[in-house]
Formats: sequence, C-alpha cells, structure tokens
Amino acid sequence: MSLTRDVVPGTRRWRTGRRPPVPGGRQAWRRFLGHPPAVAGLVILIVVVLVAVAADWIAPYDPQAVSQALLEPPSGEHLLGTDTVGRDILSQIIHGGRVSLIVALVTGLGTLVIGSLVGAVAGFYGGRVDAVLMRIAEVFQVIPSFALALIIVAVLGANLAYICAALVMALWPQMARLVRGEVLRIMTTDMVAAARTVGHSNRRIIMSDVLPNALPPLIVQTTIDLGSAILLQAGLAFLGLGDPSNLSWGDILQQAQRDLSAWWMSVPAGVVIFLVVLAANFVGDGLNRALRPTSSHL
Amino acid sequence: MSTGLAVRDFSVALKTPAGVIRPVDEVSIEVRPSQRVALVGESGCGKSMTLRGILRFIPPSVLDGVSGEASYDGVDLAQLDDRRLRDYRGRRIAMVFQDALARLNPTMTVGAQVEEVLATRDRRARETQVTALFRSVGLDNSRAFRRRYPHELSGGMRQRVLIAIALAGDPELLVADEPTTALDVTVQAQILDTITDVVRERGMALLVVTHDLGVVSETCEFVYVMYAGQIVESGLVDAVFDDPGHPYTQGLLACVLDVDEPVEQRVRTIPGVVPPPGSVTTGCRFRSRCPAAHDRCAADPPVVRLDGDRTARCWLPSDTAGEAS
Repeated sequence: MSLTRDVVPGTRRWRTGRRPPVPGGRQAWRRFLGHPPAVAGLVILIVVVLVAVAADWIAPYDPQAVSQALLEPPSGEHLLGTDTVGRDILSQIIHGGRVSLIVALVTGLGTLVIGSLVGAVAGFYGGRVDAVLMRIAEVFQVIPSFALALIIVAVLGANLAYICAALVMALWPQMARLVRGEVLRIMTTDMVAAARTVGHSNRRIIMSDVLPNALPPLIVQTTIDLGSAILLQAGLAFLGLGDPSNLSWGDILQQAQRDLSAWWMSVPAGVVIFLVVLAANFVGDGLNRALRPTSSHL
Repeated sequence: MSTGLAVRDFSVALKTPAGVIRPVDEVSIEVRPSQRVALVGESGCGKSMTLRGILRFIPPSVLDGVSGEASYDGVDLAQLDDRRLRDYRGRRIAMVFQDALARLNPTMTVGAQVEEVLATRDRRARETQVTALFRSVGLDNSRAFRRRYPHELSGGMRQRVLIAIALAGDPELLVADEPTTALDVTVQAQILDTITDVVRERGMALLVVTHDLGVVSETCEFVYVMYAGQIVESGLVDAVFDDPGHPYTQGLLACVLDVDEPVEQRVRTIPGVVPPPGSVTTGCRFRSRCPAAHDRCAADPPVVRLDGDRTARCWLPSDTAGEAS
C-alpha cells in the first residue's frame, strides 16, 4: 500500500533522558561554543559560582574576623591585604561572591517569574487588561531603575530580601514588555490557530505553545538581568545601602572609599564586579546568537 | 442518531477598511455522517472563509457578524459558549490544514503533540494510542520517530502528523482545508489515500476544501462548487463532472490538464478573476467571465434542481428544468 512510502525509519537522535529543552538544542550549544567571548564568560561565571559555593573551605580567614594587621598592603600572609579593622580582603571577596550571586539569582528568578506572568497575561488577553498592565510597567520604567531601587531600599531598610525585591521592581517591566511582544507574535501564528481547532484550552495553549516558543529571548534577557542585578546591588552597597550582616562586593568598595590610597581594598573588588557583569553579558550575547537563528527550526 | 453538519443560508460579514463585505453569501452545505463532501472553487471565492465562519475561527476584531444557520447534530454552533465549542472542536469536528510546518509546535516532539490531544490520562494507554495513530496514517511508529521534532521531518510526514493530531480526538467529521496544496504531486496522492483510508475505516465524514478537481474526484462523493461567495452548483461528483450544469463548473473542468492534447492547448484558463466580495450585488456573479452570458444574467439567477440532489444557480438549465426554490 502507498501509506508507508515516504516513511524514513527512525534513527535515534538523542540519548534517552538527555533531550535538549529547546529545538535544535545541540546545534545551539555548538553555536554557543563557537563564540569565544561567550565561552570565556561562561568559564568565569562557573569559577565564580564554584568559589562562592566553596567559600568556607577556600577562604584563608573568616571574612568578619578582625586582627591587629590594620590596612596592610598585599603580602604573603594576606594575599590582598587587610582593611581598616584588619579583616582579610581576599576572604571578604570570596564570601562576598555568595551575597552577590544570591542577590543575582533571586532577582533574576523573580524578574523572570513576575515579568513573564505580567507579559503573558497582557499579551494573551490584550485589550483593557493589556493597556492597564503596560501602563503600570511604564510607571516603573520612567523612573531610572537605580533611583527606584535606591528609594525602595532606603524606605524599607537594607535587608537582603528587600534589596532583591527592590531590584525585581526595577527590572521586571523590561521583561514584561519582552514577553508581551513574544506572546503577541506567537498568538498570531498558524500553530496557535491549529491548537484551537483541536479544542485546546487557553491554559494549554499558553503552556505548550506560547511559553516554550517565547523561551529563547527570555533566557537571554535573564542572563542580562543577572549582570544588571549584581551591578545594581553593588551600587546600592557602595552608597551604604548594603546588608551589614552579609558583606558583598559593593560593601567592600564602600569601605574602600574611606582610604582610596589603599588600592588593594578597591581595585580587586572592582575588578571582580567588572568581570562577572561582563561575563554575564557575554553569556547573554552568546545565547542570543545561539538561540536566535531560525535555521535550527528548519 | 447523528445528523452531521448542516449549514443553511449561511453568510459571513467582515469588517474591512473599505466597509463591510460578505465573502460568504447564503451558503447551504450538508455533510451527513460518513459522507465525503468537497467544496471546490478558485482562490478567493470564499471556501476557507465558509469553513472558518462555520467553526467560528474568525477573530472578533474583523468579524462583523454571521447569519443563517450552521449546526452540528442539530446544535447551532453559533450559540455555544467557548467551553462547549471546544468540545466540538477536535472531539467531533477536527481539521487538517495545508502548510503543516507552520501548524506544528517547533518546540515539541511530534509524538507529544499527538499525545496532547488524547483524552485519557493514563500514560501507557496514551502511548499505545499514539503508536496506533502513527501506524494508521502511515508513519513510522517507533519510539525514536515519535521523539523527533517537526523540523526534522519531510513535508509529507508533517502532513501525516497533522492528520494524526486531527484523528487523536476521534472526531466524527474531518475537515481538510487544502490538505495537499503545499506538497508535490506524488506525495499528494499518498496523503489523499491516507485521508480516504482513515475516513473509510473509521466511518467518519469528510469535508475537503480544495481548488483541485483531481482531489475532488479521488476522495469525495458529493461536491459543492463555490463562486464569489455563493454555491453555484452541487451534486454527486460523478454526475457533476460528467455533465456540469453551470458554465463555471464547465470552465473549471475544461481547465484540467489533459496530457493527450497538444502542448499549446493543454493549459486552458477561465479569463478574468473572481470579483472581489461586494463588487457584484445583483445578477449572476459569474456573468462577466461567462461565455454564455446574456441579458437575463443581470437578474439573480434561480437555483435550479436538475435531478435528484443536483442543483445549479444559473438561467440556462432553468429553461429545461423546474425551479427548486
């Protein structure tokens, strides 16, 4: 019979349990690896995460422990010197990475969740719902994000949770706009029309058609948000709005203000912030290149 | 007992920047259970719009309104709320489209997309059902094949996946909108075989929308010929093709390629194009292109019952037969 003529025997494409979450995941990964800055960024991020996780074992001193060695320049004993009360700078940087990364992760996740939710609802239902939600997002957007975060933390207090909340407030509108645009685009595709013809509900269409297809730009935006969160948090801490019980990189910079001639207090922390933010942006850019091309869908 | 799809005097009005137009004008179609019916006509004559109007796929932003009746099993589809309408879509009336790639979700494996439509919650049962569906539409039913993504398949295979998705809801009526238009000729024939086979096996009704008369003669028993938003002729496929009553049907049939003829005479056309909706308000809409047009065509032609189920909307046959309406 003619039925089986254009059938090609299936070959095993992916090993079981290792299917990529996005279509053409393998090619996307290969494209990502072909972009050197992205790979460098990824390596830096991985190293920073590992160091932060293993801080207790790696750090030579307790970052809060004061000592008699006040404001000492780098030496064999204190590789990056000590601060005004004799605390080891290297240990502070190692432990400070934890705070910065936690802030980045929580903020990134919060932005992703709130931004996608608002954006998806606005794009899917459109009309008045869309108008109201987007005006709210614009209210947040017209205030510079750093100023907004500054006000929120100044009012609520410099607690790590409040700092994250403030950063999410500053970053969610952009994510919401991005998701809304993607949803609007996907909703007009034949794919969604076809999903309606088989009687799928709105929920099912959002979950299995709209969100997975909007994922690549979301991933990219999230990596960029991670970098922004680290930078904004460091900025807040630099102005003295850091959580005093959890020293971050920005807090080290804030202490360094008191004596700028002690370069070993300001430069290393500054360099680390610079590297991590740059790395996050490189990774974002690499993901952008890797996930965008539609050739993987052909 | 199911009575199938019954559409009576169905009109669709759309809002356009130029005003309200009626691309579908008092169309009456009937698809009885396990009957195979074709809706045929040129591009732009309202075939797809008829389907979309019946199944309510026209977005409210452009829809001005529908009139007439479109009912399934005696239930007026226009009266259903969204939730009840969803029960009809997919479970009772399923659709197959052209351009399968755009209709499939690029982020899901084809197996998962078929599985999504199945009603049962039991994973094992779903898997066996998907396997059976893939086999019935002529696809490789191995696990590896079901885990492929749409972009990894050929056009013909994608179309088969789309058919499998349509069948997954176990519908009573399969509506195929130009199901083979984007495919090459050999694959077209195979897909048509598949569609007719599954429709026969499952005792389903079939409504094919196409401009391809070959598709009509191969798959269907009954045909409606549509022109400029109106049904101009209807009847059993064999009878209509043997002895078309309406000049438009005659023209369409004359356009079919005949390889036996000399090359220069093979391609024939009907001169002119379908008038845009709203441009012809009275009289026969085909008269500007009709070789047999005469004075009377300026007045609305009657719908003539030729014999049995056959009707034609034309003055010519009305001279020899009694009027239907």
